[in-house]
Amino acid sequence: MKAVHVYLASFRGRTAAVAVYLWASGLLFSLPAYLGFSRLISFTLDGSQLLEMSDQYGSFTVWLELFSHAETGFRVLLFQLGALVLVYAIFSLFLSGGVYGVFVSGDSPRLGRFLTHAWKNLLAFAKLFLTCWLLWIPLMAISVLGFVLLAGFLRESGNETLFRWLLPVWGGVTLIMIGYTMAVYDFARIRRLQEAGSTWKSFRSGMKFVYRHIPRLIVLFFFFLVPFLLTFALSSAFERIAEPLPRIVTFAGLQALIWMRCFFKNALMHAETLLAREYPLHASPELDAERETDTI
Amino acid sequence: MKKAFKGNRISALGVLLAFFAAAAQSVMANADPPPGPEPIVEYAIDARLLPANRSLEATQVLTWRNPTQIAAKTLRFHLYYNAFRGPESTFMRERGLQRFKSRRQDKARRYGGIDILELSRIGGNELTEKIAFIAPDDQNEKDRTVIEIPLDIPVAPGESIRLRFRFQLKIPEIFARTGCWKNFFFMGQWFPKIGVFQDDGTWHCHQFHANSEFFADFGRYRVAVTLPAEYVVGATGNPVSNINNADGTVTHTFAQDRVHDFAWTAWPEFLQLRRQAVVPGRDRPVEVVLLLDPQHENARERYFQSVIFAMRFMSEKLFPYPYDRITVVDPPLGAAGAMGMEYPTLITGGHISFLPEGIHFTEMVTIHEFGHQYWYGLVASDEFREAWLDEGVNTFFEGEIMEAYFKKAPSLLDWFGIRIRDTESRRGPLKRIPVLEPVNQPSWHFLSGSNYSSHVYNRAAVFIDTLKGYLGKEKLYDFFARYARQYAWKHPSTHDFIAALNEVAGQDLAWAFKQFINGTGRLDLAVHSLSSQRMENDPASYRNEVLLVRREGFFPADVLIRLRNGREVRHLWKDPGRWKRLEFTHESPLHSVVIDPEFRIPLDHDLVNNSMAAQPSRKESQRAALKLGFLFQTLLGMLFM
Ligand SMILES: [Zn+2]
Repeated sequence: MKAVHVYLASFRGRTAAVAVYLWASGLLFSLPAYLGFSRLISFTLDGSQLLEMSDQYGSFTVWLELFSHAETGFRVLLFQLGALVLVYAIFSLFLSGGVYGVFVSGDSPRLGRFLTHAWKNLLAFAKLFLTCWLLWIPLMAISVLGFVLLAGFLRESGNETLFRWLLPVWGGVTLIMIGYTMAVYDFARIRRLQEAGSTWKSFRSGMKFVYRHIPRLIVLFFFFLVPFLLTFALSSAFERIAEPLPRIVTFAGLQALIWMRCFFKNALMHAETLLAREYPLHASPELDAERETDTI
Repeated sequence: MKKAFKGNRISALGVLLAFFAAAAQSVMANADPPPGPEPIVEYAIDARLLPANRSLEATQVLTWRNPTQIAAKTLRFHLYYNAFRGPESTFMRERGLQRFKSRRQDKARRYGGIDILELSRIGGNELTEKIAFIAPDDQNEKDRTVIEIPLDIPVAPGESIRLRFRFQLKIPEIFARTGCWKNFFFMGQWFPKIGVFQDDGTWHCHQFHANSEFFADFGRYRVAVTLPAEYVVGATGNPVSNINNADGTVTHTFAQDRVHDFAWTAWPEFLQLRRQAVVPGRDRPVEVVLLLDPQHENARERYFQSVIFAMRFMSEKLFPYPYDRITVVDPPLGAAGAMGMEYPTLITGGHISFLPEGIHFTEMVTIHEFGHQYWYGLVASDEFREAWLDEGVNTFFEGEIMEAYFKKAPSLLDWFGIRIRDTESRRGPLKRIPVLEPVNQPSWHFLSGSNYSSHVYNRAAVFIDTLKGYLGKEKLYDFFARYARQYAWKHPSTHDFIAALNEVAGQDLAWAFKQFINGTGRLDLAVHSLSSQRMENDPASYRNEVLLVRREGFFPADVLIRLRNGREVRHLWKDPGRWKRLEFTHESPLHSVVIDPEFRIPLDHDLVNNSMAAQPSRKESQRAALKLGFLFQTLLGMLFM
């Protein structure tokens, strides 16, 4: 029950504190979207009652009018936000340095310590990030190729029944590959902090770790995914009931949901470090073998 | 009924009878179907399908009656199948010119065609050698879709001619309506079909164009198809006989009166399902035959229920469906080119089994194609020259039936929070028309395939929707009922349509058709400005001013003026000036102005400028921005690794 144990052990105040940093940085990066859309829409409407008319027009028609009326504005804004997404992808390297730094070292989760770890780990994590493309590119190729073959099969045979079976299989395999690569990336970073070896060595020991602990990791990922996906159901339900609430309440409610997502993601990362600590790299093979027989 | 009483000396009994007849008629307004047409053509075709060769051999005896006052010295025939003869046919050339062509289709395209091996006049001379290919629309010498045959002895007015054909088809891989895919065959536009001889002594016999559909005279069809026993066959009309032949083939014979085309399909895999549908105004039920891809078993009810619903709707609103059978064909996905097409008493639907059920594609296609039974099949407008009378009117009815079928739920798409009504889906293509053209023009004159469909389907349907708002639903439906009954079997033109509409509307609507059907007018009504000034001599009241402008086009519209104290003022804006200033003094200043508050004018191109608030609130725009911003924040959250 190691996976369950570490997962429960990850629900700590420090996990929640680090989740606040994650949430805050996400919000910071999203502010241009909130403000940009707000300005663009109110500029486009310029006093028009279009949105108030959505019962008569239909919501699809309202959005269509809005987008087609300010097509250029929306294009420019979406382009800018796309660039922002790229910047955030790099910034998330920095953030993950802080998260894993705090969890692996057992250091205080105060902002100062978090930022120190993040800065200290940035270069090493960036190298690992680049190295992991060695894994991502072939697996992505396999997934894409699989889909192309599947589509070709459907076109040639017209066998929709089999296609309907094979499509979830393809989806499942792709999901497993995504889970696998995510886990390798995570444990390579953890090993890098635990052992301070070279990039290549960390990458390989990350792969090795994932390979040895597949059942435990499946359990761990499952525990992460269930509440994480639940927040999506919650947010769509909340958006439906939020209509009459003041905007600030809606906004706060949605932010709380985002923070919950950050918390679950952090709990997973925390649990991963605890698991890695249970099975250190330099443990003797005998000990390793003995632990293998342990239940997951 | 009216005619019978006219000119009679009206006795007391006559008055009484007339009264009862009128009363009965008003109760069962649409009960009796209009009388059928005088047949002009009679086809007897004997065809043998050779699936392994992808070919067909047939003999055809055609009896044609000259319905005009002018002798016919020549005959013209469509050989539609030659559209697939090669890349130089007008059909293929026009498809190539279209912007949105699919490369896959080009690759998969296998050519086909029709050859007339023998042609003779029964009781007359051999005509095979006299066949000449002509291209009346574009002079394309490579196009072989129309032939002309000079006659030694003309066909006198009212006289008939009988011709015997022997012809052969090479069947193409299906990508546009007709052809085959593996051992699935859909045969449309497959036999030599005579054109329409017009009152001025000319032939209406156009080439097969990429964007145009069809037009023909009504008549009788009797078609025998011989093919291997394992094939399940569906066709226009009613089955007459099935005869097992000594060579292991079966001859299926179908016949139908009062139709203007004949299509059939054959596939060993078909699941054949039948249901009897009780239809208002008919004493016998209609047999609904569903030929289903066995992989689509779970779509069975979606097909049956939507086609029966559409049949009852049209029977109730227009007149009872006059045939005894409707065949619904569900083509396999590989033969998607056959999906969504109408033929007399036979339609093809479309089902894609891995699409979620919230996408109502299957219902939409089935309802649309059934609607054609009236506009294409029975009223039978000219799809070459005035396609909107069929596709536009039918798309409008598709929306009406879809809304009724799905009640208050979003009728086209209801999936993952995305909700679209069928009627909403038309304004998208309408807004993206690159060049505005008249809706009412020959189909092959349009700039592109998408311009054709955005005009003929969407713009025309949105125009009729707008007429519905203007005249009211009841009056518009009353018009369609009268129009359909008056012109059933008669091939009405746009001119007839307008005349009939004017009569029911009690006003001349030429101004609307001139702009939006025969012209290139766009409609955009807008609130230009509004202001409220406190009166100098009476500080307790305000001088309110609203300025409305017609940016493009003319259409009368309701204007709703809201005052800040909650009072509402209505104004009917109908004078044709480009602008209109509304001024009034009131104790309350203006709150907002909305043109067309009930959204009766979907033809209005731009809805953003249809309303204006005196003091705009940012509440709704912030709410919308909140949705989009949250979407972005969620996306970012997913990216963190
Ligand atoms: Zn249609």
